[in-house]
Amino acid sequence: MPNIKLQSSDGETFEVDVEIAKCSVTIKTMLEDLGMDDEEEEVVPLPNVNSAILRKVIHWATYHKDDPPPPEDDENKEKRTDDISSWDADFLKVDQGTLFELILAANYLDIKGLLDVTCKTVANMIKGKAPEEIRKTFNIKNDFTASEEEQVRKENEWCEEK
Amino acid sequence: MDVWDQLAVEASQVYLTDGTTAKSPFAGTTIEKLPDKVLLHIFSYLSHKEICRMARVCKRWRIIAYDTRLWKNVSLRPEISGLHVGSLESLLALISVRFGPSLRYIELPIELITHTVLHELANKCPNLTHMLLDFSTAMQLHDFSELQAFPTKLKYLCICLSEVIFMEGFMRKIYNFINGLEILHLIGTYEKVEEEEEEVYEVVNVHKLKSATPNLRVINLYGINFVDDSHIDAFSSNCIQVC
Repeated sequence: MPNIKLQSSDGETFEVDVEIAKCSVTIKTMLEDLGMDDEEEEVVPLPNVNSAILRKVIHWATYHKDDPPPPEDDENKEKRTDDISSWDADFLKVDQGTLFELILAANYLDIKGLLDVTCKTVANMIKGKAPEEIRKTFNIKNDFTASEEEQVRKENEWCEEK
Repeated sequence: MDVWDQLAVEASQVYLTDGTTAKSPFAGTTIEKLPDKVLLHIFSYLSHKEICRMARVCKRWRIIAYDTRLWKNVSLRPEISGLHVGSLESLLALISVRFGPSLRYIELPIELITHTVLHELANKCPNLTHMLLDFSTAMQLHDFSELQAFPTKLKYLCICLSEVIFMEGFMRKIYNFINGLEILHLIGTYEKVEEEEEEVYEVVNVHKLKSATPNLRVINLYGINFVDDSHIDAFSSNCIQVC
């Protein structure tokens, strides 16, 4: 199986099996568009991903290389968040900063499986928390004025339980 | 502390390596750095109840929580894990500002099935193709004499019948709008009724319903106690599937 080289934003290069690299739609399209398929020494620059994160992404992609392609989102089906595999759950036992970096990388590289599982992890961190707890958890500033806060509470009170 | 709290704690700003506390190299990467598209993706894993709560976190989250793309399938039957809308006014406001053109499926309980609500859905939600109307707890129907509009793109309609309410007044109003219907579920009350030998009412005129829906492919009559062979014959003439 041929390898290609991926270069992180901080200049480190990683040699990766082409088939593994192609789980990223961004890389796959780049290779097809540029006709880089058979070029041995070609290096794919990834200016938006640093080496620490790229290493983790490659680790994830290598473990998942034989996965079936993720199913298209079925809008009629309720999305589950309790179906994260134990390997992924372990893999994602990281600090928030790293988790969000992974999300940004999965988004930029267009790796649906990784984006889904990381977003599910964040959704699970959100579930069951009150707005104030959310702000604390994620260090978000409450930028509503008192009257706006009252307004938005009213807009959504219908949603709370009877 | 459940596993997710645990995970949240572990994923907080500081993490442990080799027993020492170290600052993450990415501590500066907060949830605020995520693009809207990604936040929307995260919100799509939350229930509508959670999404409403998230609207109160900050201005940006409010905008995302109100994105109509999160409101494609909406259940307003609180007994069946849906949302509870307290008043018709708030429902009418929601239909235009939050559901809008993205809405594809809605479940309505009897108290919210009124001609104004149906008008609003017909006007503001052009992509509404699936609808469930739950009349099962009805003691009396709303007045539909002013019903002039009804969603016209419906492919799927589920009507939960009450055993005592004659639906014809309502059905007559909607026959003209449902000729695109492909799947029809009529849910009766058979299971709810104890063994009382009460009179069985044919609360829906099956023959008329059939002639109003020429494109019907699937019909499911569940727990309907007034069905007889002539009804089945009427439907089976060009339906692929009769259950």
